[in-house]
This record gives sequence, structure tokens and C-alpha cells, in this order.
Amino acid sequence: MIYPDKYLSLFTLLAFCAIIYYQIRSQQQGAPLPWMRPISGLSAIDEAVGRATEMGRPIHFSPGVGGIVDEEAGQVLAGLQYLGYLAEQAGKYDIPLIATMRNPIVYTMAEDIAKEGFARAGAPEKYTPETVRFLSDAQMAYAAGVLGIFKREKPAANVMIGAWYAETMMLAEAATNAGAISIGGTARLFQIPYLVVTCDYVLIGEEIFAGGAYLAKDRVQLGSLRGQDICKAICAVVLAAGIVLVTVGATGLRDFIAQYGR
Amino acid sequence: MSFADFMLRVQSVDTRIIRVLVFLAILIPLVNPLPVPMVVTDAPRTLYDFIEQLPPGSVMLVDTNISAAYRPTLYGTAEAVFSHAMRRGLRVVLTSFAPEGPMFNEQMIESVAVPAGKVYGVDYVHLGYRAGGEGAVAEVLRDFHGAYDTDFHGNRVADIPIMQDVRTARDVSLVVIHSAGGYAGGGWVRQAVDPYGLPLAVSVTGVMAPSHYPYTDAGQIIALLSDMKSGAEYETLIQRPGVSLAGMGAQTFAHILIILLIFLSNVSYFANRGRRAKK
Amino acid sequence: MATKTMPSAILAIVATVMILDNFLNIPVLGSLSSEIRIWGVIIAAFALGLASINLARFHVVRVARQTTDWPYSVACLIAMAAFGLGGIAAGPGNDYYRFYFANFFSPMAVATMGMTIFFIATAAFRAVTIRSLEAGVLLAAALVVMLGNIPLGDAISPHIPDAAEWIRRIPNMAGQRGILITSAIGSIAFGLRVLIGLERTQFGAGAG
Repeated sequence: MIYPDKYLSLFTLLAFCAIIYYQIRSQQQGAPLPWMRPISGLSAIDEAVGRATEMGRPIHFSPGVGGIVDEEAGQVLAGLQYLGYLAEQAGKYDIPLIATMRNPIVYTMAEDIAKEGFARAGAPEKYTPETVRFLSDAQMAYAAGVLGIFKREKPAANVMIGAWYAETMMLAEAATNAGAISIGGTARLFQIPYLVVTCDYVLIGEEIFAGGAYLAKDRVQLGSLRGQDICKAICAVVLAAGIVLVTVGATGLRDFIAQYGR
Repeated sequence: MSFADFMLRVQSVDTRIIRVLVFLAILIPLVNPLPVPMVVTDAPRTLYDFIEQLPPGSVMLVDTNISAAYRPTLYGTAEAVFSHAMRRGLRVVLTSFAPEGPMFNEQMIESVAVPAGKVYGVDYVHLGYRAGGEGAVAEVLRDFHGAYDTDFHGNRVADIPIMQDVRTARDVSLVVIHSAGGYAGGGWVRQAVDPYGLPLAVSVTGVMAPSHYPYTDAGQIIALLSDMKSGAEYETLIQRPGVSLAGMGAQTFAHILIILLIFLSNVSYFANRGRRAKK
Repeated sequence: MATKTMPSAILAIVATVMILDNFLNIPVLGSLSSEIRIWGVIIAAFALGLASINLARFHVVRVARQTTDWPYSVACLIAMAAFGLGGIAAGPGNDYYRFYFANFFSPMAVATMGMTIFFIATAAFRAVTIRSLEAGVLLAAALVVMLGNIPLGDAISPHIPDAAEWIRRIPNMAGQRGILITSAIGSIAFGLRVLIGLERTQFGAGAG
């Protein structure tokens, strides 16, 4: 019934899920809060909100150009967490929020998330149809639209966390030219270097998934982070063991993983 | 004025001047094409040799997953490979799993197949866009006729001569994909190489190439072409200069300019390091 | 209650089917999975229509109020009508649509993409300096890779393209694999939270 070359993958997935779930339940039942290393990019989000409040200029947000039916769905959804938080802050401090979307499905979700965020702040009337904007389904047309927004609206802060493609550098640099502080984040490997060079703060790889834990100190998210760290440790041990074994000529572990771990 | 002061002024130059320099570095080689000596690397040569050894009449499946923004990067390679296949008498099935791909397939047909006198439906066919990403790839490879009722022009696939011999992946001798994103090579490895053992050649953007190295190392991708340079090399191999070769001069000058800018920036940084330390 | 639990239930069922199909060789799961993918494409098409209506409404309001740069909104609306509706009516194989694609859409997309080089140049001039040993190593690697990407690298030395390939293939991939593994684990955790209903971002709840 199970594909023979996927036994190990299935076992690993189930094991990781079990570890993460156990840690989540532990936190929900009141286990001590795990220590979290400071991530400057996440701390900077409040700084961005403060800057926008002082300057009276909008915050621009985008969860990237990916969709939710492809492999970047997790990154897009992770990015949308920040939209909810920013919408709440925008409602609380009366800051204009401009959220631009490239994907039409993500746009419909973002509308709801932003409305809920403003409602949580007790300011549902501050959400307008211009808060969340679908610019275009075409990648470069979307990028051109965002460049235009930077030029016209001159945001104080640019939060671009999600799934990013080739327009990353263009948008981040344009935000800098418009005088905005940029906080970027993606797990798309190819775009991380561009964000590092152009943004003031960067969330690299899995750090984008940690937003909920940092911003809201949500116990579910904290437990999830702890579970992820345990899984990473297991991966590191297996990697180290594999490297040592292959170096000394014992390829059993590598062959086993190659055969059953597709 | 001291050298440090001069370099500080250089570093503080208006960014518009830098942009003008970049513009000129790209424009001049495009207007006055420079003969750029191309050294052909392994990947384009491997694909070239593979196509050369395929018997005429073999079927090559092409996935043109190019979006308009990546035309300069990937289209030249796509056109060169298509041209080579037409020249070798291969029968080419053009598909796309990206919405803009069919338009580039049509452009290739106009610029390569039509001038060469190739017959639509006999020497090549354009099946058009199929939505659904990697899942659609799997369905097409399982059953071409089930996945496509009509081709891009509305002709019934069942009535097209070339498609009489192409029903499943087992009827294909080579798969060539040109991809600017999405599932790219990994998806085709999973759907075409692992289940059917099809030879797969992949042409991707430069930033995507490193993620495909594990597949080339494992022999799952026979040739990995990346960026405009691979396209220029392939055009050199088939002796058909195209858009990739035409762009190499501009790419070369732009790279040189950026290296120069980085050099100047660092000279200024080190020239003024003592001044910053004093502050 | 139903508005909160029903989407979660649908999500859990669909996700479970898709995940199990990846591991289990059961034809029914394969058929269901294919059907779900088709429905995903249909939903995406409807979402595109909905988003297009929003886009049109946004720009109509801008034109009506004659806000800043409203003539561009007129251009956007004309383009949507002419090429969007025209393309739907005439089909992508039509000469009219192909003319639009080759002479409007494609050049504009390429031009926008081409602007990246200007931003790269200014960012390189501003930010790529040897402030530390690590930055120096990074810069040296970048220079080798850049030279390996142009014929000049071959002309200077045939070892430069080989060195560039080595940098891309070994240290670059090592760094990428590390990020890939951690990102994958992060995605698993996120997916698990979504699957069991502990993550409600997609239903409007934010991180706050």
C-alpha cells in the first residue's frame, strides 16, 4: 500500500509531526516558555509601525508573489500572519496600511485577514477597499504597480515577507529610495541574498514562520518552534553521522536513505 | 584634494550617474554588436551531442515554461534547441504548463519551423497550455490524448499525424524544459525521469541552476543549461547566432561595469577607513 | 460556528487526501487528488475574476475622483478591456492577441525586469564593501562567479569558469541545503498547525 521508496519519508514526516505536536501540547498545558534567540527582523516590525506612526506615512505590506496551490504556500501563509498583525497595529495607531497582492486567491484571503485585524483593534471602519489591492497576476506588472505605489505614496515602512521571485531586489531597493525602512523575509533560497543586500532587516528561511511566536507570544507557536528545533537537531545528527560514515567508506546509511527516503 | 577626499566624492556620486553608465554599458554593445568569443562548456555540448545521436523521426517533448519577463534569459536557448531539433529531423511536441508559454512556442514556430518549411502536425505540433502544474505534467505523460482534446489551434489531437505515434511518455525520446520558476527540473524528474526513465535536459535561470545540481550529479538530468550564456554557447554550436549571442556583449559590459563599481566602492571604503576610525 | 468549522473541516480532508496520495499507492486517492487539483485550478480562475473586478473598481473610483495620476488608471482600464476581454473573445491564437503579446505585454515585462540591473548596480556600489573577513570572502566569490558568467572569464583564465562552477556547486549548495532543511521543517510545522486547526491565519486571524 505504501510506496516502497517512501517508507522512510513517511516515517520521518510522522515522527516530526509527532514531536512538534507533543511540544505544542506541552506549551498549551503550561510548560515553561522556551528561550528564543532575538531575531532583529521581527523586533523591527514594531519599529516599523512606530516609524510610520511618527511620520504619518503608510506601511506597505506584501506576502510575495507566490500562490497557495504551489510549494510556496507555506511561505505565503506565513507572510499573511504579519498582515493580520500590521492591520491590528494600523487600526490601533491610525496608520494607513497598503497591502498589495499578486495572487488573486491570496488577495481574497488578505482582505479577510486585514478586516479582522482592524476589527480586533476596535477600528473596523478604518479598513477601506484601498487597503488590500490586487495589482496584477503578471509578475512584472505587479512589480511595476508596487514601484508606482512607492513613488506616489512614499511609505514609511515596507514589510515584504513571503514567497519572493525576481522582483525582490527591485522592490526593496525602490523602497529604500522612497525613504522606507525595509523588512524582508523569504524561504526561497534564490532571493535571500537579494534581501540581505537591500533590506534593513531580513528574516532568513524558517525565521519567517516564527512571526506568531515572537509578535504574539502565542504558546502554540512557541511549542511549534521548540518542536522544530528538536527536528533540526535530529537532522543535524543524521547529517553528521552520514558525513562521517561516507568519509570512512561506509555507505550503508546513505544507501538506505536513498532507497527508502524519496 | 587628497585621494581619500576624491574617492569619497566618487562614492557619493548621484545614483543617476551610475544608472546612466549602466544604460550605456548595455546599449552600446547592443547597437554595435561586439564579437564575443564563446567557449562552449559541457552542458550545452552534452545536449547537442544527445540530439545529434537521436535518429531522425524521434520525438522530442518541449515544455516552454517561460514568462515574458524571462524572455531574454531563456528564449534564445529554447529557439536554438528547437532549431537544432528541426534540423536533425526530430519530431517536436511543444507544450507549456505556464500560461505565457504557448505564446513563446508560437514565436519559435514562426521564427524556426515556418522558414525551414516544416509541416505542422507532421514535423511538429503545438499542444498549448495545460493548467495544473506538476499534476498536469503527470497526466500528460500518462496519456497525451486524454490530457489534450485539441491542440493550441483547436485541431483534434486524435487527428494530428504526429500524435498517432505519441500517446504516452514511452513514445518520447527526449524531454527538454525551459523554466523560469515553479516546479522546474525537480517536478519533471519526479514525473518523467523516475517513473519512465526519460532523458531530461533542463534550461533554467542562473539563480535556479544550483538547486538542480543534485539531479545532474545523480544523472537524472542529462544536461543543465543556465541563463543566456548557455543559450549563446548552444547558438555557437549550431552556428545560428540568435538573441542569446546578441546579448552576450551587453551582459559582458554590464558585468565589467558592476565589478568596476564594486572595486571603486571598496577603494573609497579603505581610503577613508582611517577617517571613520578617528570619528 | 459552521462558518469557522466547515472551512477547517474541508481543509483537513483535502490536505489529508493530498498528503496520503503522495505516500500510499491507492488508486482512489490518486483520482481524488487529481480531482482536487482540477478544482483548485477552477477556484483560482474564479478568484482571478473576482480580483479583476476589484482592480477595475479601484481604478474606476480613482478616475471618478480624479486622484493623483488618474490618467494611468484610465490606461489600466483600457488595457484590461482591450486585451483582457479581447483575448477572451478572440482566443490566444488570434493574430490580434499575438500582436498585443509580442508588442505590448512582452516588451513591458522585459523592460520592468530589466530595471533590476539598475537597482543591482546602485546596491552593489553602496553596499558591497569588505567590512569584515566574511564580507571579503563573499565578495571574492561573487567576483569569480560574475567573471565565470561572461566570456571574459574564459579569456582571463580557463580556471575561472571551473572555479565559478565549484563555488556554485559546493559552498553555495551547502548553505542552501541548510536553509532548505530548516525551511522544510518550518513548513511541516506550519502545515501541521493548519491541518489540526491551531493555525487560523488563512481564515482571518492574524498573529495578534
